[in-house]
Amino acid sequence: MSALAVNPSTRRMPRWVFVPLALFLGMVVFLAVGLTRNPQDIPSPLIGQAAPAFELPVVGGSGVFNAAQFKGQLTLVNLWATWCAGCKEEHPILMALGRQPGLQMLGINYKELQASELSGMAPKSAEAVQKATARSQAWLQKNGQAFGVNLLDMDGRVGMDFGVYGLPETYLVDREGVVRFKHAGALTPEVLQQKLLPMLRSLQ
Amino acid sequence: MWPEVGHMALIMAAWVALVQAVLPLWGSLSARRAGWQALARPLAQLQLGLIVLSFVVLWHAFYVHDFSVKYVAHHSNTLLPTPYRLSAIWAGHEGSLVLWVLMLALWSVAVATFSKRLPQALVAQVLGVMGAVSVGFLVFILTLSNPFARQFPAPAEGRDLTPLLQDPGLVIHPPMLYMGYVGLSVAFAFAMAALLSGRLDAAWARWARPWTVAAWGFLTLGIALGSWWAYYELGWGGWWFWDPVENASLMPWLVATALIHSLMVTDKRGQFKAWTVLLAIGAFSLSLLGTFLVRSGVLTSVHAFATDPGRGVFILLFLVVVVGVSLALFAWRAPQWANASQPVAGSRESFLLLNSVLLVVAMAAVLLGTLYPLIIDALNLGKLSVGPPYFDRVFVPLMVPLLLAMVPGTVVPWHVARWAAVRSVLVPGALALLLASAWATWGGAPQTGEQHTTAGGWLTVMGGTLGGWIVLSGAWQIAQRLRGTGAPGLAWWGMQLAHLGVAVLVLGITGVKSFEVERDVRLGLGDSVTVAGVRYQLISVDNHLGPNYLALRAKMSMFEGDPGLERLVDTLFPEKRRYVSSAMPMTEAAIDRNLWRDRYVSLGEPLTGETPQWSFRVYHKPFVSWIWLGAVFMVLGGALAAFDRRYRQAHSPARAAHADAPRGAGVPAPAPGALGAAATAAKGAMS
Repeated sequence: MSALAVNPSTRRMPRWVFVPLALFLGMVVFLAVGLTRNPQDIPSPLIGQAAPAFELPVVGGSGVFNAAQFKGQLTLVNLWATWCAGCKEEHPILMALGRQPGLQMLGINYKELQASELSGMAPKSAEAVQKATARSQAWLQKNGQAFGVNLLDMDGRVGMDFGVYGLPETYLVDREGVVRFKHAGALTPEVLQQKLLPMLRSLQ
Repeated sequence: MWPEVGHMALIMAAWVALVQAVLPLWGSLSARRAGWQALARPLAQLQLGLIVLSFVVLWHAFYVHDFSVKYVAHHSNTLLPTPYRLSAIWAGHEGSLVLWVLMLALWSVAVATFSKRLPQALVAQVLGVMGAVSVGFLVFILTLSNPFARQFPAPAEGRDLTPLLQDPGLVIHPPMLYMGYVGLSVAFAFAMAALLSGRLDAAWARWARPWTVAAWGFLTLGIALGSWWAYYELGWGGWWFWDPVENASLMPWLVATALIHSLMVTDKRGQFKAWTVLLAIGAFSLSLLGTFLVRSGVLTSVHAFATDPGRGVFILLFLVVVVGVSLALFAWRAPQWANASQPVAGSRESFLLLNSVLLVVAMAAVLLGTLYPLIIDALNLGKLSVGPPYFDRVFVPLMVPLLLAMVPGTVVPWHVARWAAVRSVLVPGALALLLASAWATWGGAPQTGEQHTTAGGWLTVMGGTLGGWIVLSGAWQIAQRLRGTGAPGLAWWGMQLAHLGVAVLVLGITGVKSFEVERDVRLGLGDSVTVAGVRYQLISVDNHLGPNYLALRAKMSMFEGDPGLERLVDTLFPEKRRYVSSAMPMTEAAIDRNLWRDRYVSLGEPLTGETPQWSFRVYHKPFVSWIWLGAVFMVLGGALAAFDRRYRQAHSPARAAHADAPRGAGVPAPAPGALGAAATAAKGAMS
């Protein structure tokens, strides 16, 4: 006996039977577009814009750094923390960049104490700042003083203004205080050679 | 030479799978070539033999450190202990795909073996569809993911298996999970057979049920193992993170759960036919979607394999072919199965419909949350990520009515509403509410100057009541049933055990969410921290040498009791490991477990200061083991149900349609649908 059953009546094909197929095809369109994107490649709306205005205390110093100080000098801004593994990974590259003439190296230690470590302390309380300062300095002592200036962004407000997604992140700010380049994630020799150094050369 | 043999075996397996996909299916659709149907079983066995051969060859390459095989050199080295060397086979993209096709071949042979009573045409169609799925994956392996690719000269030493994966939990998590994912292909193949032949009767549903339950059981076990592993290995004390890949496993699970219940209605009542077929397609499609999400690099996740755009394109095309064809067939066939009769509100069917709808909506919510970043990016609206707050907010409100419907759904009879049956379980419900309120009030751990509150809230009452109601009314139903006549079948006991598992899981989640205590501290030698009435004292921190890692190992003693009268209860050794071949440090949490609570200590970084100090996370996690215990009950329940003899009978005894009605609820008058179903069942069995 043939297993092929009698054709179902095609007289009235209700519209609902196409709903699953339509939903699926709609999803496929998005998946296909998604394939052409890199989820790690996060464009920054800051590129071409002035760097956010901020003022933060300098770690191990008495002064503050004001965003106005971007003017007149090419600055590499690196958002980092001692708890971030990628930061340690990219540190030798930052050390090498520090040897570039005419480039100011600015480290922003972003949320050194995470919410769980604060355990009730206000992020900007003296106790918390002291703890973060000690950790930040010890880490740089161990891994290399890559930053001419190192700042503490205890509550993460400045990082948020920069639009930080995850650490580390690196920005290049030109002499006019305009953000020209952004890299999310650890710097690699490839990024350095193919993107950052050409950009630096063009700006100098 | 051996790797080439393995490669050849895979190529031959692909050809065999192609023949398996074409000839038996053709035979089942054409009367003149009906003899070809008989090819399905031997071809499935041959395919399994070839894939086993190539799998063993790959295993051998790992065992003898054949680093000329690129895949081996990437995922293993000479220091890697043997068990991990053998499980490293599924640590990467290529090898895990070989595991995938191995599982698929195993399921195919299982269907071929345990389907002696099924009509030959159905077996030919099911195995043909599974062969077609296998062709897709084998071609994918051979063209874009060859695990046997060589490199010369061979490196002297391999890289390492990611330290995260060097754990007993990971040895079994992927195989179980894949058994679940791939097992859903059986239900899918049954659905495709129904779509191709147009024949979908109660017998079809009854035959599909044990396969679906078995796949669901493996999937449950795989997800639970993954969660358990993340809990003790990641050192964050969490057990579910709403990571895209976790979601990718949860979505097919939700649909498979709906499918199990919907198949029951199709089996017993001959209703929900189109819906059941759609769920069967959906469950397997979602496991394919999961494969795409994990291996294409479209989403960021801790689980993501190394990405390759070519692979993403292939899987997407495969997804389009498999799901597109099946949904198109569905659109063609479904109108003839459209339900003429609506389920009576308050009948068992109506509760099972609610179950299906809620599970599918929950799946859609998870799918939306998982794909939302992708959709927003595709529309050029920016980049964003969707985190646990979204999922918690959407998922919990959908699960509450689902759990509420669970008890009445199991006590009301088919076809008619009988509120008396629901009233009878209101007493256990009230008792559960009482107990849950007591739990919320007094269930917390002793507070000793901690900042964290340990009093429960209304969520504790709600979770406790829902879980408690399921447990108590389950016990009530079992008591009723044992006093009545006629022993319930294995499937009934399986249902009770699986539902108990859900309740235990809910109670576990409620307990840990309500009463967990977490402390992050820095401790020097001799320092103590008190968490939930237990004093943890750091005794020493030493270096410890493992087979392929160096560890910092802390010794932490736990004391209980009033000051002065303290006694040592246990000593924990949390570790921080640094594997020789990778810079990534790994946390090995130390856990003191019992049924009521876990005491969990994970060692963080050494901190700099005048005296040496280390950061520690200390957790008190009440009821956390219940989460996995609940999953184990669900799996055992599924296993019991899958072995019910009734599913293996060709004929459904007419009485069986009502065997599940609780005693005292009465036997409803047979509906026309039931008679029709029984008639078609008999017809299907004869063809």
